[in-house]
Amino acid sequence: MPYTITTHDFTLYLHDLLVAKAQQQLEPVRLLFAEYQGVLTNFPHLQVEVDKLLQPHTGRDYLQLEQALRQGLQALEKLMTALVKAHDEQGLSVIEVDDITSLAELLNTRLANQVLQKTITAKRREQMRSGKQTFTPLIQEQPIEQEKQQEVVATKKRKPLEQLSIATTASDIESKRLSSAEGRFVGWQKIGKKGEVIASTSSHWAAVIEEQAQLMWAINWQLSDHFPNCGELTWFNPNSATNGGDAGHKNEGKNTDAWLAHVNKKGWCGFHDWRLPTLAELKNLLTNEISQYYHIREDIFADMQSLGSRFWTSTVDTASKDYAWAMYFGYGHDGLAHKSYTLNVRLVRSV
Amino acid sequence: MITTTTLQLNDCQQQTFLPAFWRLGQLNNGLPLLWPMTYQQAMIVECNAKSQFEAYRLVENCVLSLLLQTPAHLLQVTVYEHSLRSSFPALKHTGKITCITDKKQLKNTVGELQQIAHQRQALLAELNLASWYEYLAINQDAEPFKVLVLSQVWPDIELLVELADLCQYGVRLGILPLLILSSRYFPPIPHDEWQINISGAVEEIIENSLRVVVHRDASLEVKHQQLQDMAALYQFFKPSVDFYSLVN
Repeated sequence: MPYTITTHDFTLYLHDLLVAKAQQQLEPVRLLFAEYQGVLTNFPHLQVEVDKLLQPHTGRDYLQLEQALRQGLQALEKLMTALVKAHDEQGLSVIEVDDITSLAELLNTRLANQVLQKTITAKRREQMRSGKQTFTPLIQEQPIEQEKQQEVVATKKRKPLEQLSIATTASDIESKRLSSAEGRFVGWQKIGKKGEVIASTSSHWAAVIEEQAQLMWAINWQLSDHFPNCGELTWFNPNSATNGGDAGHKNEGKNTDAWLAHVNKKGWCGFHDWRLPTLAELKNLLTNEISQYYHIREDIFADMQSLGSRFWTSTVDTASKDYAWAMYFGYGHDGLAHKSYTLNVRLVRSV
Repeated sequence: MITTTTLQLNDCQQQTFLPAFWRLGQLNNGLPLLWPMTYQQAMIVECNAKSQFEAYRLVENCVLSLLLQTPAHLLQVTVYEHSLRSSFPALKHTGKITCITDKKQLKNTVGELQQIAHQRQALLAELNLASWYEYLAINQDAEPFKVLVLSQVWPDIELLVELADLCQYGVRLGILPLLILSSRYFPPIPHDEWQINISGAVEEIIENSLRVVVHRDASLEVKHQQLQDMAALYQFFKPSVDFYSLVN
């Protein structure tokens, strides 16, 4: 039977190819979901979206999709690991929404946030439903008490019972939140604006003491602040004994030396002996993992996002006089930077 | 729906006119690589010394396909074989082609084709027709569609210029050059004035042609400026040259 390839046939043929391509490109996504099946089972409401994504779609950029999904699933896995760890430590068997929220601060991924939002909404609904169911019996049980006690007394006691029940729940949650927050600050002390030690649960702090190194690190009070840590400063040190043979660049007063003089004149936390950290001191803050954006504990050094990744140290390089050592928290390494570069400073003092 | 079996060469029957699609190779999912042919541009197969054999197979498959789907009186194929060892054994086996092996004879043939092109151009102008295919459609006794296959092009500036003319103007006049260009004779980076002149002529040849690159592992790469999306789609399936040995 004669067979002529028409343009219609050719269109169908191209369509078949496009579908086949999408199916092949989908395979890594399928494998990815299989790899993270253990994590996804904890989030059953995502299954609908997963099923949708597993349908071949000719116009979809699967390379980008796979990368985005991998990031999201990795974040979910981290979240689950952290939760399990936290609850093992606390001996709890149920994962609370508040714990997820506090841990989610460390994870800035779209998928994790979406999951959290859905989980929170679902939990709230459940709480609202169970709240009605829980409180109703409490009120209903009261008449049994009333049989033993006088009616007037019982009526007075009703309100405290309700209040007590709610208060206990709230304080439980609060104490749980505090304990998990305190757990994160083991080895560190938060310092207030007057140099006093403040609770580790405080939302703002002016400095932290690194207990092991006996160093106090200055922290900007708010993200919008540029004091006492700031950026855009060149390296300058007029002291020939410590500047490695080259004083650096004055940059019309916008340099490390002038800034130190300014901070110490004004004082921070009541102290006037702030200085640039050495390379070893600053390097000690480096973490293997990225906290949120940087290789540093951003839950402690809360001003990182307003400063940036590159920080000056006081350490000079004798081999190259024009350079001083700097720490790069973006990629987590140190390096020599020309003294004319404008980097950030994080001030420190010994305690 | 197109399947692999419906597009096998031995299933193809003769058509009333030239086939609208050529099967250039096979994709790694089993489907053929079909390419729309408008017969408005020449076909250049690029290869190197190590992929020359695969280039011969590709050209042979294309011409066999064309022979099987086109009425004999509408098609005339002339093949130049540069070597004593036949580059297109299956093609020769059909007995439907004219084979030449002498360089001088080839040059004469190219010269004749140019003359034919001029004559056809004059005739088309007289009849106010755009292409030879229109003339073929209305006149069954017309001269056939001519295909010139070269198993090797060598750096002869005179020949290259004539081939460039045929590639640019001849196709519309029913003369289709199908050339194999080996990087052995045409290095990608010319290093003297003579080679620069040669590469200029080669660029003219490939400028408006359908370019197919054949690699050592028999993989195919369709280089076509206007249809790059389609070429990229095919490339995803890692196309390769088909192997056929016998024809009916």
